[in-house]
Amino acid sequence: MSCHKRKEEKRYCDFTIALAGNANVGKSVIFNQLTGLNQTIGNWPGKTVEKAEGFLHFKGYKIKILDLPGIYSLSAFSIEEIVARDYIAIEKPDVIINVLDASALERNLYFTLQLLELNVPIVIALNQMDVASKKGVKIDCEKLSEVLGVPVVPTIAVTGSGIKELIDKAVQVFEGKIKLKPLKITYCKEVEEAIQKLENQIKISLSNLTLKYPSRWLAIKLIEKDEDIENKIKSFSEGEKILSLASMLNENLMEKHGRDSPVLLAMDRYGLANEVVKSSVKFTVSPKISFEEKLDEVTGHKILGYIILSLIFGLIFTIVFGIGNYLINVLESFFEALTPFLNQFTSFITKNIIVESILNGIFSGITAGITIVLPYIVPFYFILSILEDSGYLPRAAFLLDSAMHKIGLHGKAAICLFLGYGCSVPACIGCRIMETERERFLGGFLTVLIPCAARSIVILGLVGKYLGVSAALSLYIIDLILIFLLGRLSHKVLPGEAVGLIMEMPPYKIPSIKTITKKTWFRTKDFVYFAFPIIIGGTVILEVMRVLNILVLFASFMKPLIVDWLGLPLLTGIPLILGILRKELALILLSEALGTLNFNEALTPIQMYTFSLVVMIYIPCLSTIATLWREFGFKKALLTLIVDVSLALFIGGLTYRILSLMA
Amino acid sequence: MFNRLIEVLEFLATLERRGEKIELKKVAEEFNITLEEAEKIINEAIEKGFIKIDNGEMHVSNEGLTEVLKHRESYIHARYGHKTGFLGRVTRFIEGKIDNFNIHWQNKHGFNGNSLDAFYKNIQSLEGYIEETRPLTTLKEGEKAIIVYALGGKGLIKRLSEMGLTPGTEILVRRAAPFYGPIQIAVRGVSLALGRGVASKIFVKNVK
Repeated sequence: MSCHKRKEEKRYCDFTIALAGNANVGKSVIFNQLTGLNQTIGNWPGKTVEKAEGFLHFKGYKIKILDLPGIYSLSAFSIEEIVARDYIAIEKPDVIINVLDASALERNLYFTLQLLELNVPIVIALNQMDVASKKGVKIDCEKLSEVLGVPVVPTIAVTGSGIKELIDKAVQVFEGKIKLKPLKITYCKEVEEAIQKLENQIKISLSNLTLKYPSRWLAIKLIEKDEDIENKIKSFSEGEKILSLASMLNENLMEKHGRDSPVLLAMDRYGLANEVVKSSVKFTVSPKISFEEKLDEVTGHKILGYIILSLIFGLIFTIVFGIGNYLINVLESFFEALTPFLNQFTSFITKNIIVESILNGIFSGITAGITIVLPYIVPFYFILSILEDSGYLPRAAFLLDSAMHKIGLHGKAAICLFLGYGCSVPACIGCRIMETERERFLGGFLTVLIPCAARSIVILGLVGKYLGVSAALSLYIIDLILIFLLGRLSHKVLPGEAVGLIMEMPPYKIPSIKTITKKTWFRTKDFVYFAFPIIIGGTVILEVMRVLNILVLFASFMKPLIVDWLGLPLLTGIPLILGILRKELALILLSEALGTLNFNEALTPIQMYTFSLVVMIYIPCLSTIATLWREFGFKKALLTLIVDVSLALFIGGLTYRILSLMA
Repeated sequence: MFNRLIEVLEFLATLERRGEKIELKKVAEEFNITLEEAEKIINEAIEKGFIKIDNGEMHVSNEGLTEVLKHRESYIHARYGHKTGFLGRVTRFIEGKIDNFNIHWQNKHGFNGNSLDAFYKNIQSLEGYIEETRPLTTLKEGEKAIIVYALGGKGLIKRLSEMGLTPGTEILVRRAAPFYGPIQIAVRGVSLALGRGVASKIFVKNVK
């Protein structure tokens, strides 16, 4: 049992339901429907990389709901697959809701068959019924349920249709009111014989392990050459004997069929899945080409596709910049009008210079947070949500695959890099969708160099506002060139070979306004909750330091680097260092350190450009460093840090000199 | 490692296809061996009946050609440098077919016997010379084909099978991205993007 039995515990639950299935079938949507939580959803495979949990009260039960990452089979291959499989096989949730995409039933059933093989209690949610019927796929749910021997509930998760019946069925399965008669999967004669032989041997010599896993399942996994299971068996005293028997049997199968045994299993399972589909599905071909297909044709086109890709990114940049600047002007004039009153207010309530500076710090922190940060963040998150929901990201990945291969990655990495423009943390974690350790690290290493929303604030708020759009754009282009060069270099340096792309392309969807607004709202809320305390704290510290006159003292330590090498005013050293906490803090503290919101008075254009460039590259913020550490280990995180800092200083100094020469 | 005799036969067959004469010197040059060694191999081939001598000229016999075709997959394997260690054994590929499917579930769940037969037929239709197969990358947009086999490491094969790209599966090429980019295919009702490298390792044959 995966639940704690102590009633007083907050996380207590009566039983657990896990949502499992292929990537991008709508597990997270169903999860959100059931729990009322807001697990990130979107139209691209691989969003959920860690399991999420929430609670549901239903019929007097408190049920724990788990959202597992999407997987295609129960053979552990990438990290998220191991997460999902370990959970299903070892922790054994009380009921598994297997979410299927009704419009791609055959492929989805491949996973279902493996769940049935593992002999776990499952209920099937036949999701995206609306998409399926649009494709001309008619599914007889009763027949399907009869064939598979488990309950099948048709659902349309986005509208919430069928969700109540689904959870009702799951509870009935838990209560034992519905008896499951799972379809027994049998393979071709020789494979079946091999499984029998292995199973008998396993029953005799590995009785400990069979408490955890069904013996037949273990035998099948050995035929499938599953490394994880092989390692587990190796640790038993008679394990070697079983492994050598397995390899002998596998060789025999190879001799007989001329194919590797895992392929044989896959062929049989797909054969069966195909039979199941034929028994319960009617295809009515719709003659006219759907709008989605036409859109797919245009956006994936050899020439048009790339034009659309660059148009979309140009448009995003323009919209974010335009709306952001407009909002900043409105908000700034509002706060400027407010300032005199607040100054009077603070000097009225206290005469203590320290308390006054703290109050001032809090006020200017909030002002800066609202006027500089929010105007760019909100429109950006809005557009990112539209992109995610529409299903365009996999198309962009398709178009950019060959470019990504140049830097040792493949198309999927392009999705992570896009997400990096939002925030480096989810982008870094998102690198788990890549298949090998090497690619994950390479992806993470390059992703942190993408200017996230916080860094965009610095670029747009400083360079964009004072030097113009083209100057800001040039920074983004320099960044892309840098990423390309670094990627190329590390691709050559890192040992190992690049892996090819195998990616599902989900159909286009019209993004729902409700989901997008919700997503934008929650992302912004997270940002505010997380960033504002740090922004305000940082400003207060700096304000107090300024009043006590230790700011200059502190900064003078860094004089050789900041003034002599980068050519920046002495006081900019402090924002650069504290910017490690959050990148946009660098800009806010810059105004604090320089004592003005009008940067024109305190900085030359060259200094603005250099400052933004250094902030863009020099170090990912604390939370990104922590993520890098967690994902790739201490050594690799440190390596990334050292590379980024030295690169930023080097390029910053170089830019300062080149620009000075040109001017 | 790989049977040198087969490799030589493959080379000789290629020469004949090009309309060139079979000469010992060419064999020695191609494989970087001495003339004596080349002669030894050729003699072995003549003994086994893979090469016949006609008017003083050497030709690859029908038996020889059959032998070449039989070993084509492992030959490609060796050429591609996938040292998976079963090169010799893969040769029985062309005999590869599913024998008797256990009909347990057929009786129990009342599947249509005809569709089952169709399934067997589908698998059995895989029989044939590898000669007819070609890499997926050679397909044009809108063309249909059936997967015969995939070459590559254990990991790749497993991933391909999981995504439904098993031997005997029909695929449709939707479009290809430029600059040696990926290929978008439709398989089992799903749209998949395959990197060009991956696609070139999948071999297909025409739909009959």
